[in-house]
Amino acid sequence: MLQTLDSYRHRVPLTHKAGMRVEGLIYADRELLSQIQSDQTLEQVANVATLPGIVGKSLAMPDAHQGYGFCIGGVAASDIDHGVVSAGGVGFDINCGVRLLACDADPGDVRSRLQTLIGALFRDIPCGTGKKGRLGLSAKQLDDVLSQGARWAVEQEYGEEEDLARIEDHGTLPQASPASVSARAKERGHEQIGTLGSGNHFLEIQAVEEVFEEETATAFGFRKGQIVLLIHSGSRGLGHQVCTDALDAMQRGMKKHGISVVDRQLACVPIHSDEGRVYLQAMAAAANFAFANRQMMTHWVREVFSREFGNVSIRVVYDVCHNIAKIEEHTWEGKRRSVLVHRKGATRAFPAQHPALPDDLRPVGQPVLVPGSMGTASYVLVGTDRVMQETFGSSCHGAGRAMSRTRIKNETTAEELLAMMRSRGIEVRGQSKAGLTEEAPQAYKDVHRVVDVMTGAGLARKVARLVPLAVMKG
Amino acid sequence: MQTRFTLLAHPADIGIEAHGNTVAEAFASAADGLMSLLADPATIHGRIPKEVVLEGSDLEHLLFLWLSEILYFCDGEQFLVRHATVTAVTSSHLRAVVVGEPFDPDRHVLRTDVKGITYHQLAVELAGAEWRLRVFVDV
Repeated sequence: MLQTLDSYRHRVPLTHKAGMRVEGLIYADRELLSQIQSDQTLEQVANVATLPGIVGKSLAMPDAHQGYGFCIGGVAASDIDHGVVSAGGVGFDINCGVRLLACDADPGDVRSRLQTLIGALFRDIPCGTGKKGRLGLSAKQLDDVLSQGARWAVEQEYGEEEDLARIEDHGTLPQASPASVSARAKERGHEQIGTLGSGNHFLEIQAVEEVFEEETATAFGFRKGQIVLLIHSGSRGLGHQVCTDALDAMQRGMKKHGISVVDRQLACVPIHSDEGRVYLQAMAAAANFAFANRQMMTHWVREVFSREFGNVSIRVVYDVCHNIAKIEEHTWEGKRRSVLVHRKGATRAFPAQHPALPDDLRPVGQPVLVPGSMGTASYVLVGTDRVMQETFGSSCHGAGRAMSRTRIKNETTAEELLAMMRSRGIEVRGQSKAGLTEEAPQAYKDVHRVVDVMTGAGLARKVARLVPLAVMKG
Repeated sequence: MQTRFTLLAHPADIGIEAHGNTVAEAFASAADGLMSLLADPATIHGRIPKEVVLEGSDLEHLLFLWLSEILYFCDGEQFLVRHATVTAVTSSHLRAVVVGEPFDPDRHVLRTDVKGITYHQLAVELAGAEWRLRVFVDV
């Protein structure tokens, strides 16, 4: 039975399900809660609460919806010594994430050349099902990508050194080990570096429609009216296979470690077990692949804009992971401790003064990027101190799906969607009509409402709202 | 043998429900269901056979491994499967032959990027006289 604590917080008590070790906590307003209750999110929050060594609460952000094992929008921290790591708690698309770029081109010039720009981006950045990247990597190069992440890309002249400071963990998770990544994962990934992917991945040219905190926006590196670009992509087939391999290894390992789970998709092993170590090394390698991937796409964005406008500055505002597990220091119930934070469709939201942030962001906090559904709006938020006290420094990661891919195809068509986008003056390029339809905004929750829950609950503040001008979908 | 599967809705992903008179037939139907998500099967010729041998801890584990194998053929080896014949399934082993051909962008129509096979509500059941499998994939 769900207990409503205030307008935005709903407790899943220990009595909800046998075996819960901690309570669950769902952030939602009344409308979002009724959407959350229409699928199995609540059960999945309760299931995660049964994992060995879970610390604090099993959390669901306001964009939460049913996933597999963990809900999407789920956050769970494991005790570093007695807890477990679950590959399902990260998901198949390891380090699926979002990168925001701020462009200094004249907004009027960009608006007048949107068709040309989005056409060039669509041509230069491979996207869609089965698309190979522009360069094939040798085995050695792929290992370098897996070890070094975005740094590898910058060293290959895909971008600037200064880009790295504006990427979560500087674009490199140091515990990565290419040796822990299977030959199959490497085979699935080596031709997919520098590709956007399909599904909900996208690249958008946007405008900063509203700035809510000017000082913070200035520190982040953008201003009202400016042109920005948002890239949503992940670790492609390589990360997907790392997850598949780990699900199998953890399934086999659970028996050895005497662990049983209420849902096999929650397969998990002790963090310090051989299987746990190998997974975390492979996961970090896949995360590095995704950082390099977004870095390469950034370079091609710069090339397109330079061709069109000459010497134009495009800076990285920030790059966040939203499918990841990270070892972090947190204070829980007055005790400082190391925990492994699983963020499955959730974004790190470290506030001002957090030691992990680069010097220029430490006074203000880390940009939290919240992409909305196609044709609506996206937000930049910043975490508050409360986000550290309640959610292990985590925020929502988007609007959150509200309708299945099968159902949305019965509700609308690609033609209707394109007409709607045209009526709003938004250019669209997509590889497939079916793919576009599946991503229609009606299939998603209201991003404004999701963000209002984050701010209403005191976990984050709004910094800016971004609106799309042109969209490219895989 | 007739392939029998239906696609199931999930808030974020897609499921496959596959049927068969034997567990082997149902496993083959599940593979055909997955391939129908990945590509238009009508565009694929079953020219080249591939043998699959898997070992797992139970039928559910084998179903996960089996479909992960089909997915890997497509996304890792760029080999599209036209049809699968499962020759033997026990609670710990599966043996099968799939036929298909290498991906040719000029002839084949790819449909959906499937990221992985999940254990979410995965089921292998004997329902009356037929076997019924249910599996959700992450897209």
